[in-house]
Amino acid sequence: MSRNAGGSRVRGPNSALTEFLRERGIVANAIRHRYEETLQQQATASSDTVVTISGSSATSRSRSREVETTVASSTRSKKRTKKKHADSDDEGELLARMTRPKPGQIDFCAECQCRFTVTAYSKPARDGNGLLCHSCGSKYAQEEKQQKKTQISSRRRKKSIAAALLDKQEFSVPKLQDLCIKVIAKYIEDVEILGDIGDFNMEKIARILSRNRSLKDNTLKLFLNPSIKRLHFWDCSNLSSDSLELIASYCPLLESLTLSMCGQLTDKVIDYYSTNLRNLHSLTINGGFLITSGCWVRFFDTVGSQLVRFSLANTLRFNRESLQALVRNCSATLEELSLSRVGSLKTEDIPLLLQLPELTALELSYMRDAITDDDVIGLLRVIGPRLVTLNLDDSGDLTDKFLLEGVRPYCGRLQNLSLALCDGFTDAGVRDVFRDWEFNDGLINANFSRCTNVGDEAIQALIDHSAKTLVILNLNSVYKLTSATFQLLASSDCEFLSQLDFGFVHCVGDEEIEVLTERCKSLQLIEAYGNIRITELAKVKRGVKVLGRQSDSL
Amino acid sequence: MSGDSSKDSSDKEYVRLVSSDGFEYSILRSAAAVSGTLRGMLSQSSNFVEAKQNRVVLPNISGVLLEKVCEYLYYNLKHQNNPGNIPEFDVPPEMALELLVASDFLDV
Repeated sequence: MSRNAGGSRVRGPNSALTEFLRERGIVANAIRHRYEETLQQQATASSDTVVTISGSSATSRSRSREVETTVASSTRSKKRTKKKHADSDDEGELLARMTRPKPGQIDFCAECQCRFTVTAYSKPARDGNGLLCHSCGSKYAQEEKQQKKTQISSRRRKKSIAAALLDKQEFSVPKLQDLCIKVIAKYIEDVEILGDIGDFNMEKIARILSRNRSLKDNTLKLFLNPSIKRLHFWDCSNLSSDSLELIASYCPLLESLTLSMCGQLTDKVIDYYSTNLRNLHSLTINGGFLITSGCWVRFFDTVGSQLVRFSLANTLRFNRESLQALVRNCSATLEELSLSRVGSLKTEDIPLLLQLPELTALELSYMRDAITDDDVIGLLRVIGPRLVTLNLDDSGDLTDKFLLEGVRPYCGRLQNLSLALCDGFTDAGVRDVFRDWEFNDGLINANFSRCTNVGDEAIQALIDHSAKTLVILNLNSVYKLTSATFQLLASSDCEFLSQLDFGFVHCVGDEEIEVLTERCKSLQLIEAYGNIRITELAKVKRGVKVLGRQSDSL
Repeated sequence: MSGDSSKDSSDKEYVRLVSSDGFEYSILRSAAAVSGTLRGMLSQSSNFVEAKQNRVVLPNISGVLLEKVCEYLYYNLKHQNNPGNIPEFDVPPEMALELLVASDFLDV
């Protein structure tokens, strides 16, 4: 029975009668209108024949009838109020003007009923049924002016937006952050004006500029200062290679340099760093894919003997040769090595790392050529006892053998273990590593995200082993876990546990999250993406951030 | 010329921003809403005490800076609808660095 609301084209089944009527074009509204018209006509047939026309709502049908009968009914045309005001306005006005009293004649004001002389400027009444005297007409003048103004301004605005779009310009009010950055960039040379705000704030501002993607050639100088020792730029995508070189010329005392998203970094720049940065001991390059292998060799030959930390990610040009040069030069000093998404390295290059006896942190993640058990075990046999951090994310070829013959016997000092995306492990294998693992004092940071074959026994063994030390625990997508594991986690007195991720672990519900936040005193952040059983009713203790609940966005 | 009465009443509503050194600034709610952070804090659908009291304390922003921020909020509000041709907003260089940190915090 309900009409289509909102113009939807969906039609359900109808009765035979409805179909018949629709086919014939018989519409109830039309019938009603016609009936009312005939009533009106009868009512006004005997009244005066002054023609008044409602300009704003006349439609073609009523107009034609008015011309024929010279009797108009404003009520009738009001009932047929549709859009198309503009069109009918013009034509209605035309007709109205034809029948209006001419200038010079006397008429009665439609509002105050006073007698007045019609002039060319007499305004028509609001409802169209006559003219207004001068005083009544001028009342509305102010209103009309305002209307016109808004019309004009909106038209102008639309035009300016359209023009701006064509010119690809911004058409919103500039943000305060951008205004500040513009001013800062303008006065960059003048340090006295900007004032000294200290290293900590400088780093904050570097982060803000990176977030706004405003770290450009002209804002770079803001951060370059001859005395600084640490420099971290998270987004160098807008820095040309010349600017990157500037870093070394302005800051020769740099000891630690981090450049992320530095696609424009070239060999020339690295060569310049190796000669100019005499004190460099820590270098992190993420995304410097233009640097050739030969350049890395030269770099290590020059700087290698002082490097303590080296981290490289996202390049295909760091290969066996480069690694050999690294190992050759840095064996005495290198403590932390991280190679992530370095596509040209193969598993057989791993034994080269045996020559780095000082290593305490090792990351070999997302290697295209998957690491094998034997290679890593061989490595751990030598460097395992010193390792504090081990990250082998996305090494799907690793099996329990690596755990039981590599980690368990040798990694006594291990505190940070990340084995995300390693689905080659079994529940029993992981359990056997942690069960009664007295050799190791307890993990601080454990990441088993996406180790889909791991289950209750493994994680319970981990909890038993490391409950007193765990700070960060990532169990994302370890979906085989059951509620029992989380109850154990809650009851194990994990006083330092502050970050917990159990996304997509279906067993976790409101109960579990409540007891966890209640019992784990240091809990600050819980990531619960894809946990459909956690609702907004879960009573989470104050101060604990829960991210990813479905109810948060619904 | 639509006069939406509910819109009017929220337009006239004022909220207070308190700086680290105790200065209080009363500004229109609609001006405060230009800032994403403030809009969230003052949102009536949240349980924040700021929303209930219509008062936001900002202990990391000084009075002088907060005044400039309020000036910007009104500037933004006033010219929202006509962005093509608006006067420049002046940022004194001495304030620029701190103002950047403040405006980043307020998401404005």
